Amino acid sequence: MKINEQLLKFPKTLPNDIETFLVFYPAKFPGIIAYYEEVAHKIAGDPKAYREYGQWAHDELFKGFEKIKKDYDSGDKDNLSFLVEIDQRFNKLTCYRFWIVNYLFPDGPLHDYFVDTLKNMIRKFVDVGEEVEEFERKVVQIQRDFLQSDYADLYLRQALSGVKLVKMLESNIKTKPILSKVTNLIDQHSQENIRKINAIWDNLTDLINKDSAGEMFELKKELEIPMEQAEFRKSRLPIYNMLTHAVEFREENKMLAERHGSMKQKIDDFFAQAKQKLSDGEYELFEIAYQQSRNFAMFKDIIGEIDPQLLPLWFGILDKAQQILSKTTAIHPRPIGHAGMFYQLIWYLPPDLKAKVMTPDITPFDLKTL
Amino acid sequence: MESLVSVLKLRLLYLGKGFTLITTPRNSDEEYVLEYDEDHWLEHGDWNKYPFIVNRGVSPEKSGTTVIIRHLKVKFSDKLLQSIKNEFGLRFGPFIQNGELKLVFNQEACEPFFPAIVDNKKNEFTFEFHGGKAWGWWGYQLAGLNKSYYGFHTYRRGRLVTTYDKIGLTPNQDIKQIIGDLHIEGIPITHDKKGWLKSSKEHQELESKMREYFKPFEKRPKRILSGFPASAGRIVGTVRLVNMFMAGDMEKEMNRIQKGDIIVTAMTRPHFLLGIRRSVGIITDQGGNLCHAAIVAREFNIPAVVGTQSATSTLQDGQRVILDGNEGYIYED
Repeated sequence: MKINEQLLKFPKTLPNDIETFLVFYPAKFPGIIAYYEEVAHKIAGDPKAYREYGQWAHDELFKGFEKIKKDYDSGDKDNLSFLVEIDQRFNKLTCYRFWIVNYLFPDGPLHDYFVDTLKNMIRKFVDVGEEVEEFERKVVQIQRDFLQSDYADLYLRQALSGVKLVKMLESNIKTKPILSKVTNLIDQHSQENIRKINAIWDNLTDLINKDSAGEMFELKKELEIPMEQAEFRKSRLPIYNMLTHAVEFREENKMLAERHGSMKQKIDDFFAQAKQKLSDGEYELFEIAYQQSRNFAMFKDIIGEIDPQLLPLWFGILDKAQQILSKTTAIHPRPIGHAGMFYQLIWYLPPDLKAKVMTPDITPFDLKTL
Repeated sequence: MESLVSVLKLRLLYLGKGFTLITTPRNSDEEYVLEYDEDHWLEHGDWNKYPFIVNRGVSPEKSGTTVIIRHLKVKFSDKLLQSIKNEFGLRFGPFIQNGELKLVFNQEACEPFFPAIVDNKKNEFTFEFHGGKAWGWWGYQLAGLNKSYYGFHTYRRGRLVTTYDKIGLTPNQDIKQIIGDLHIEGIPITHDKKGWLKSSKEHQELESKMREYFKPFEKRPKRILSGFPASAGRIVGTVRLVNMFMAGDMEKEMNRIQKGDIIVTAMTRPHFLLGIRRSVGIITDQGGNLCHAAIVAREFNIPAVVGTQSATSTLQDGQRVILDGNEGYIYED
């Protein structure tokens, strides 16, 4: 499929650029511009190729992370120069393997193009009723279904596993009384109950952690994501939230599960309608637009799997560098993210390291030389 | 009657090639006959200069309008039939109620429909001008109707002649919800009633009175922000500014979110799921159609506006706002 050349150019703005990568990465790693455009030409119009690329980038990202982590573990963690070097390597890895899949494609001009194409094509196959408002509402509704797709992202997966969690808690003799007690408390919708509820969840978490007979293996598996988050955030709050959510929204979650279950059928029905009303060329474009918007959203999650491992380590390195620098310079503390070295610590680095950070890295990305 | 003819013309344009309209004013011995033939009219140009045939000496008891449609062939689906009935019921409601018009679609008589007005409040008026006389009432109809149906039902010589007439008694063109009855006497049928009315001082006084009456309805919510409409729906709620980035504050932030709040944040995070579920809408600084906030809002069927750039700095915690996820705007409540 032919896509307008302009859309395949490197994005000029990104609406979701929280870490301000767009400011720093093209300047630090100029090769990313040509690299992105080359990749975009190959995969933008080909959903299968995009999926393959996304998976490949995901694998490379994890391999690169392991490589840097290994070097970091064996290096001198109190040496500022070493910390800066590790940070720059993480940035290069993030730029070429994470940023491209997590931001440049799903938030750039291609994303707008596919989402708009989807809407324009829906307009062509939806029955035009008598009322303009009704027609517009229908178009937005169908676009919503398509953008939601039959893929369950991180949020939805948590909501859906809420249904399973409640079922498991109900069917286990040990947890059944806990569930009925906590349900009463939650259904009162009172702020005062939060501590009591959390205490109950603490007991449950301990019960799960101590379970040696394997009775709660399934329950533990279902709580894997929040447990990971709890460890990473040094707070049990993700677990409390997950469990409270499962109980508080038990009815809504059931409906959500039903809706999600029938989503594939719904989308298939829309495709059948589209097939009848659109020309072959339009239908092909429509299908690609759907597949790609689904891919863009899906690979954001897949590539984001690195976060629980990468972020604590990387932010720890930045913290450490900040601590070392603060021994000799008065640093005004502020929360920093991935690109913290570029916009915060750079001002306090010694001249040689400052030059190192500010010098563009023009060597192409390669896992072997990373 | 002029309006009725033009409306019929419009409606029948799609339906048939010609019709005859015969109308007799109440207590009059005059009968007006209009022959419409599309081919003839297309050939002779201006539709507004249609020739009336006036027959005098008809019985004064004969009063009413007859429409004879020729060459008509229509097939209505059920859905289309319903909307035609609604449309005609609204448009010609007063004529149907008067018994001057009977519309039958697929053997079913079309029922008249009348828009409701605010508080059932009918503001009566009466004035005299240039030897003529006008009286009636006006009111403010409840929103939700097709906006083109506003204006006055005008009566001349006791006969309803036009429904939803934009006769000049609509002081603010943005408020398209004014309806009422207007009886006028003393303007010859050949004269422009709108120009005649507007030239009188009394009319101007009436207009300023109406303007006063409409002031409260002119208040429109003030638009304060715009962004990408990521998930459809329109709701009113309380702004809850939430920082989803700082893990340390998570408990405090989460507890602040109550049912019915609108979450305002730079970007949502999956570990705030419980808070998001309790909220009725999401506004973010960042993001496009496929960002986390957009996806989660669509999944949980709550309206969202994303990518506003400045929601967290513009909106204040506790402020009441209207979130329009269809258009991507935030209004002050």
